[in-house]
Amino acid sequence: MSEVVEKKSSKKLKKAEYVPQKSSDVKELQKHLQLFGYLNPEDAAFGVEENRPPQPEESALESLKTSFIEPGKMDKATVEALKKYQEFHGLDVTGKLDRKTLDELDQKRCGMPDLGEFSTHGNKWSTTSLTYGFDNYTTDNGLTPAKIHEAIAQAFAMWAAETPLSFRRVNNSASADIRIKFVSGAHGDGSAFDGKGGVLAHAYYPPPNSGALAGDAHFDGAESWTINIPTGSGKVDLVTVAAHEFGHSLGLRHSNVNGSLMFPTYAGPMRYLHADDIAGIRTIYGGYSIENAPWIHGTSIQVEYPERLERITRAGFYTYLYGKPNTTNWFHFALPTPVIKDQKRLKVVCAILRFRTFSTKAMVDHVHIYDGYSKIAAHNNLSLSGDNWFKKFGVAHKPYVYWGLGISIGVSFSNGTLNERRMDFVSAGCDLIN
Amino acid sequence: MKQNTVENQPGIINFREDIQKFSISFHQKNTIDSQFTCIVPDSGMIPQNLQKPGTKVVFTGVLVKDPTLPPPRMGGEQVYLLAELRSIE
Repeated sequence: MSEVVEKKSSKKLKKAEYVPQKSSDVKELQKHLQLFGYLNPEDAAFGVEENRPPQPEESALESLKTSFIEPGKMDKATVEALKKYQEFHGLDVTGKLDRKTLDELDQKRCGMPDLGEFSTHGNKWSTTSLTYGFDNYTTDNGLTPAKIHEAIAQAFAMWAAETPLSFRRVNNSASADIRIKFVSGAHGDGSAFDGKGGVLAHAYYPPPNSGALAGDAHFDGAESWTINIPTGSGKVDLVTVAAHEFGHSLGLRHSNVNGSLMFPTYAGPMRYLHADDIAGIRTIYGGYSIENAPWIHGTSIQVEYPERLERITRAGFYTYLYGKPNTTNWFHFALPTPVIKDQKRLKVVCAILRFRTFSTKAMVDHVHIYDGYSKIAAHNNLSLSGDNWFKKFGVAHKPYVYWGLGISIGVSFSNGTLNERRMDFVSAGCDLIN
Repeated sequence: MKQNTVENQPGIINFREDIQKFSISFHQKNTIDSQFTCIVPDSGMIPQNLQKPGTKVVFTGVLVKDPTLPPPRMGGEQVYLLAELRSIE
């Protein structure tokens, strides 16, 4: 039995013989490719290449030149995204909007008439400042209330980084918008859990749905919850499932995009939003208006344990380094932060990093965000590698900034060749709002 | 109305306070939270010894989509009317 979902309507592309003549057709194409996940404006803006080989300094600098999406133009990024789409769908990889490609784009996908893959419930919160609280906790796999607080905040931060929403934890869960609890079997809401391995969790849509239950998220206590990656056999990543459930709490239904957080299947840890998730949540709540966005070059990075590096080089405006095998390290950025603008104190939405690693032997595991000495967000167990040209790390409660933002990045280098243990830090920034 | 038949389907008995009806829910395999909530129109359809929330059952019956039923409350939920209950244990 399949779930019937509402779909976002999408204009049909006009039939064109070959390359589209009108910029409006290209804009529609770009929108479709973005929805399908082939075209990420941020990646395209900063230049993405898969399996980028190590390069001498000069060509490395060249490779960091930006390429942009030009709305309405068949630019390089759009052509490359179209080629990926054609390859995935078994079409001739021409990079051109030929008739067969147009037919494929217009075709119904998964039996759904429209091309948007996410779906929304219809309800939304009337406020963007939401609170959450815990009725209880689990002690599975060494979890403590403090660790659970951090994990749940990390899950909320994923949504906060892309919307005007903020999420603040309160001690009195009875007064919270979103109540969180770990329960087994029948637990008083008319929807009992079914034991280990069945339903992992459930969450109620926003008000006025379900009265006092609206927005609440329940986690099946019969599951074995963990925040470790890899999770281990039979264990479920709390951050991933929580972020999925909070998507429902905010008004999202399931998506048909395999690889999105709102896809129905649990496929292991996923500590980030897919482009489809972002598109979905923004149709409900929109984005946020940036008041200030300070950035700092990678040359400013501070290394906590220099003796654990084999080599570190500052090249132009970025730093590239090679970690010693089987080591961990922390790297720090101190962002010059305008805490007051136009006599108003600013709030932080997210930190943003531009970096790349050359293999999975060099991984970013943790990103912690500080205001002065105070840690205001922790993104843990990330297992990030490869090209990350615009990676956001949200701060769930979007606090006022007082002392200046710092970003600490925890990395690990395992056994591998020198080049496999290379990591480049290009720059770091943040988004600030009023 | 569209009908679906389920046979020997494991499920769980629930009681929906908001509509004062029993329901039988079952999980869609390999999903985080997709489930089918089958509203039982008449409590007499459920044997009295099974009328306890959280009771695990195996049932065979016919499900229909009924526009008069309440909408889904949770992400991943689909709500059906249990039009016919052929067996339950």
